[in-house]
This record gives sequence, structure tokens and C-alpha cells, in this order.
Amino acid sequence: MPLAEIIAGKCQDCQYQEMDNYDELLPYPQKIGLTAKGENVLTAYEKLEFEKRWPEWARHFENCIQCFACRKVCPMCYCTECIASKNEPRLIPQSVGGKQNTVWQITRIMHLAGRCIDCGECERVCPAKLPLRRLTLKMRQIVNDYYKYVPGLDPRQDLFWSSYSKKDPEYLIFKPEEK
Amino acid sequence: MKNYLLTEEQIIALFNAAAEHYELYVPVNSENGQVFCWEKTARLDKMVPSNIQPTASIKKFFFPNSEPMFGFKKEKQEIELYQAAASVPRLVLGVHSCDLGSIKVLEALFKDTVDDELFREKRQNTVLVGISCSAKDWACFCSQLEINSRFSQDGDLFITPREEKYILSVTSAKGEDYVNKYLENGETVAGFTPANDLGEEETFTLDFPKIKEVMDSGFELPVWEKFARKCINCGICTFLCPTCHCFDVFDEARRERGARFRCYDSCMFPEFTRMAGGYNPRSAKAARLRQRYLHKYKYFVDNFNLIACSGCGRCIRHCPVNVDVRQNLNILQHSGSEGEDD
Amino acid sequence: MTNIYTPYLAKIKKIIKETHDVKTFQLELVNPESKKKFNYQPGQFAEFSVFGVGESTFCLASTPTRPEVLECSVKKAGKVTSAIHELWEGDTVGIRGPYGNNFPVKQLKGKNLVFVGGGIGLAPLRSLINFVLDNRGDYGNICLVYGARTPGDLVYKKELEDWDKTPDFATHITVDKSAGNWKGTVGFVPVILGEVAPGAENAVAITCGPPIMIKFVVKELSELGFKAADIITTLEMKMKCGLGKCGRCNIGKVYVCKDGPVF
Repeated sequence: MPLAEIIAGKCQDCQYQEMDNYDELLPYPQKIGLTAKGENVLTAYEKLEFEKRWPEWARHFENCIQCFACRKVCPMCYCTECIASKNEPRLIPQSVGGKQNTVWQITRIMHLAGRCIDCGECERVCPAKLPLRRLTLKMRQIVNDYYKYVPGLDPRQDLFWSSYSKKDPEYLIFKPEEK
Repeated sequence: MKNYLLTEEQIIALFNAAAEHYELYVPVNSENGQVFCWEKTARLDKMVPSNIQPTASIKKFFFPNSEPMFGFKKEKQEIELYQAAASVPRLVLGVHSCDLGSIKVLEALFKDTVDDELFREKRQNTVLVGISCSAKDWACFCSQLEINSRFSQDGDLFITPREEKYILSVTSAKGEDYVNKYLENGETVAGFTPANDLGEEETFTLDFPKIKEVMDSGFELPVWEKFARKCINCGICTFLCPTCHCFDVFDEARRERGARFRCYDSCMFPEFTRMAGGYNPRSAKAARLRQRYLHKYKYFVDNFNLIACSGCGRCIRHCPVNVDVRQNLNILQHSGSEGEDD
Repeated sequence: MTNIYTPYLAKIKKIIKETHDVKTFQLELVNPESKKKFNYQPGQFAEFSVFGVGESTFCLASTPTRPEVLECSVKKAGKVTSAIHELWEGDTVGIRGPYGNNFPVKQLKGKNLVFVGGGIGLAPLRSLINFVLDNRGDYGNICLVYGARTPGDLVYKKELEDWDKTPDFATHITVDKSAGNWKGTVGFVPVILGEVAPGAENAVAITCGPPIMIKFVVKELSELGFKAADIITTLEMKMKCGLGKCGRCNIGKVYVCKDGPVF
């Protein structure tokens, strides 16, 4: 059976099949035939008109049940106490609903900017099938565009969140309008 | 039990007839083929599908993810309380036997000792229309719990296909009221024997009395640790489970106004039992997983003589790390008191 | 739509500062109707709510024999308790209950009573002690062994003095660690209990305190000859609904809120 048929969808466009920071490398039984490049999830989505995007997200976030599977499965969600479980003060609403879930999801995604290694697990485990990878990929793209940083690729590189250079742009998410 | 033989058009007309007084909910296929929950629709235009089990279970209608219990307004040192609004009558179509069976569990719990009006009122206000399931998949194990996927009397009405037509069975007084009010020219049939898929061959059988026996003395079994190894302690299984009912109570307020809510809580989360002083009686993952299993298959049986599981398979289907409750129960029933090593 | 989670409104009549982190709140139910409904027995608990912050569980420290006040002693520990500590006299709070079972006051009649308390665990015992004092003729001698971490952590100091002066009421107060001008006993509660050695004959022991203290107190009591049936304890778990529904306070199939807290 070809590997591509049984492997998780998110692995089929894995860009990092050959890394060099291992101790031991077991031989792959088969190479995964790449069906698409990682960016395609995003570029396909970005073809959608801007106005139509928010209603779609609103519907997706409505379905979130705050089961926190995305957080639990994420290799980069390593906070000992998550902001979503903290109750003094409670910053992420505990009640579940479109707005409240949006706060939770956006907070998590933003917190993963410069940290997310694009394993795609959050999207895979989500019982409500939120297309979270679109968001994390966008974060990676922004971080790479502005700061030339791809998390997890080069262990010698200074970490995104803990380094500062005078060349860093002032903005992160919203680029000011160019004059 | 009264049974009517109706055509597709008649069924559609029967449910559309009440659209003015009821909110209509149907499981529909969305574009990606996944149905998260029953969706509200203004009108029914085709037959209710029998092959869809929404990801979110039926409990959402009576015991929502989060609901306000009452509102309050502060003014200096005074407080004014507002009661939660009454629910809207609803008609939920295409419910499978497993979900219908699970409601018995919630009903037993919520009316025990003190009646929970929030739950009861919503249940009374909802007509549940079951449908003979045609979507049994690899994760389903309703038949192990003696739930017949082809027919159930736990809802208010039940639809079974028969040749080109449908049998509509009236399974409760509420269902009868509904039919009397909205069905025009219904033809009753005598001698309807519902289909039954119980007793069909299974790869392994779960002997629940035996499992309970093992659990009765199995609090310290080493298998709990083994079961928990895989688990990542997310809340998927508990939130999607139609019988899980643990909740949290909290306030949300902005300035002077606010409300007290209750929302699903999960015994899988460490915060569930952590006390203000920091002490947590169930701080280990294995202890939490054990709590979930014991609650379902032992404590609930002890207290209500019901198994708090309806074999819907959601916890198996949606578990991110393939924890399979059937396999674990199977290990338990064969483990006896000395446990089993892998 | 009314529901079982709606609390009665109550006014804070008086706040008594017991220690640096414990305050006692005297409450009065606002609605005379709810006053009639709120009938409780020693050992029961209630859900205390600060609107906008949340609810927390406390045992009722007052006795139904003195119906004019409803008292709860609150130790500052988490979010809700901190908010409760910030309340003023005259503020309105919510109270839901009474919940749980109570001390078996009828079966205790004619018995000698041994109370063993630790820290804030004196609160439910105080309810029963005052109940017994108000029905003095029905009960035998009372012996109280009470301890706290430091002299500053002892609660109900005024009452402890009064009890000490009461006839047929032996009070033994101890602290784990002496401080200031403390002249009393120093030592852990179970040890002092062993030294005091109240007779097990026709006696019932009632204990409340931290789990670890209860464990050793129970051990000590059985060495003194108390049978398991003659030891009553109250337990505590994180609670939310108080009605056996929310599913977190179970120990096995037993729900502390519904089947307890007195065991």
C-alpha cells in the first residue's frame, strides 16, 4: 500500500522530510510523494475574497467546543499554566460561544507565532474541524517575511521571541499602509 | 404504540406543518462532508437523512455547552436577579438510537434528589424524532449496550423506512400530541415489528456486569496507568459524549451586569478537582481517566442502575490518539484483580 | 424560569476578622420567605456567592438554635474567597443551600462528645458545639482539642475563652508552632489528643480539619478505644453545584455534597 494513502492528510504536503538535526535516522520505507507544498493550503484560501473570509471564520469558531485538544496536542504549547485555564484573573472567557471561542483561538495562534513548527496536529485533532493550519501557516509566513525566522529549522539561530535586532520592523500583524 | 405508514411527502409535510411553532433542526451534510451539529433550518425540503451522526451529541439541546442560569445587576450594595428565559419549542430530526438512549442517563441524573429545571424544561419543550440508523461504522458499539440501532422507544417519534414508504412510530405522549395536532390523513398500520440488529456477530463482547465486578475491586489496578499512557487529557471524549454531564459554574460580568453560567467541564482536565488551596485529589492522569471509566461503568450503575454510555463511538472516532474504550474495557474484563502487563 | 442554582439574596450584617486570613460573615437573608425555607442543621454547608466573581462552598458555622444569625467563616485561598474578603458590611451576596447531610444530633443524645478540630475545621464543629450548649441537658461532657498552625491562626478566640469557662467542657488548645507571648500548649493535634486521652466509654468523637490531621486523629482515637462507628468526620472536596450533579466531588460512588459532608 502506498504510504500516501494511509498517511494523515497534513503529512502529505510535509516540506520537512529531510532534516539534519537528528541523532539517529531510521531509513524511510518509502518517500512520501508530495501532493502539494505547505503554502498551498494558504494560497488556496487567500484566493477567497476578503469580505467573505470573516463570516466563514465566524462559523468555524462557533463550532469550537473549547476541548483544548489543540493545546494539549501541540508540541509548542508548553506553558505550565495556560492562560485559558487561569482564573485569577480570567482573561479567556470560560463560557463557550462564537465570540469567546474566537478569543481563545486567536490568542493561541498569536502566541504560537515564531514558535509553530507546522506539524498540523491542531487541525488534525480538532473535532469541530477548524482549519487552524491556515492560521498557523499565515503566522509562519509573516514571521518569516518580517524577521527571516522559521521556527525549528536552525538550532543555532536566536529564538524569535527572545532576540531583538534594530532591523526588526515595528509592526507584527498589521503592516502600516505604505506611503 | 401507534404506527403510521407515510410517504416521504407526508413525513416532510408533517414536520413542516409545525415550523411556525417549532424550531426545526436537521443533521445536514456540509460541504466538507462533516456534520458538526444539527442545524437549524426554516423548512424541511427533503427526507431526513438516516446516515448522519453529528459530531456534537444530542445533549447540546438540553444541556448546552454553556448556558446562563440567571442574570444579575448590581447597584451599590443591592443586587437584582433575573431568571433565565424559557426555551423555544424545538423539533430535532434524525436522531439515532444511541443518542436517544443517552437521554435516559441525563434524565436520571438531572432529576435525582433535586429536579434541575434548566434541563427538564428544555427536554419538555423538544420533540425528538429518531430514525433507523444506517451509518453504523467501525467505532459504533451500541449493540454491546443493548441499544438497537434500528429502533428505539426513548425518543418521541421514530422513523423506520419500509420499502418506498416510512413507518412513523409514536413512542411518547408528547409524540402523540404532536401527531394528533399536525398529521393529516395518516394511515395506521397494525402488527409492525421493529427491526432489530442486536445479537449480530461482534468481534468481541463486552460483559458489563463482569466489567463492573472488576471495577468494584479494581481501583488500584495497574492497567489504569497503562490506559492513561496514550491519553493527552484533552476534553474531546467528555465534551462529545452524549452522557457526560459534569459541569462548571462561574460568573461572567461586565461592570454592573452579569450572569452566572454553567458550562461543560471535563474530568480529564486537572483543574476539574483542583481546590483553591492547591490540593488536587485527582492530580494524576491515570486517576482522571479511571474516574471517567468508573463513573460511566460503575458509579452510575451503583447510583442509578444505568450504564452511562450508549455506545455511540464518538470518543473512539474523535480521539486524537486512538484511545479505544472498547479495547480498554475488554482488557479490564479479562484482567481480574491481578491486572495484566503488556 | 426559576431554577435550583439561583441563590437567596443575603445582606452582610457584620464581619468579624478572626485571623490574618479568616473572616466570619454574619448574614441575614433579605427575603423573609427564604428565611423560612433556609432550615439547616449543624454540619450542613451552603454555596456562598459574590455576584460577578462566582460561588464557593462553606460550611455553616452558626447553629439553628440561634436563628437570628447565619454565619460562615471564610479562609482566603482562591478567587472567590479573596473577593469575599473584600466585601463590606451591607453588601448583598447570594447564598444557596443548605446542602449535604448533618451531624446525627439525635443519635448523639446522652453521649459524651469529643471534638477534634484543626485550623478552619473548627467552623462546622462550632455549629454543633453551640447546638449542644443550647440543648445542654441532652448531651454528656464535652471535650475539645483544637489546634492551629500558630496562635495567630486560632479562630473564634472569644468563644474558645467562653467555652473554657463553661462547666463540663474541657478545652485543650494547641499550636504547631509557638509565637509571640503564647503560653499555651505547643504540639500537633493528634499528639495532644493522645495526652488528653478522653475516655471512649459512651463517647463519640467528631473531627474536622486538614486530611492529614484527620488521618492521624482517627488513628489516635482508635488507639484510645473509639470504635470506627463512634468517629464522625467531615470531608471537603472541590464543589460546584452542591446537588450531586456537576460530578467532581465524588469519592467512589459517593458524592461529598449530596451524601456527605459528614461521614
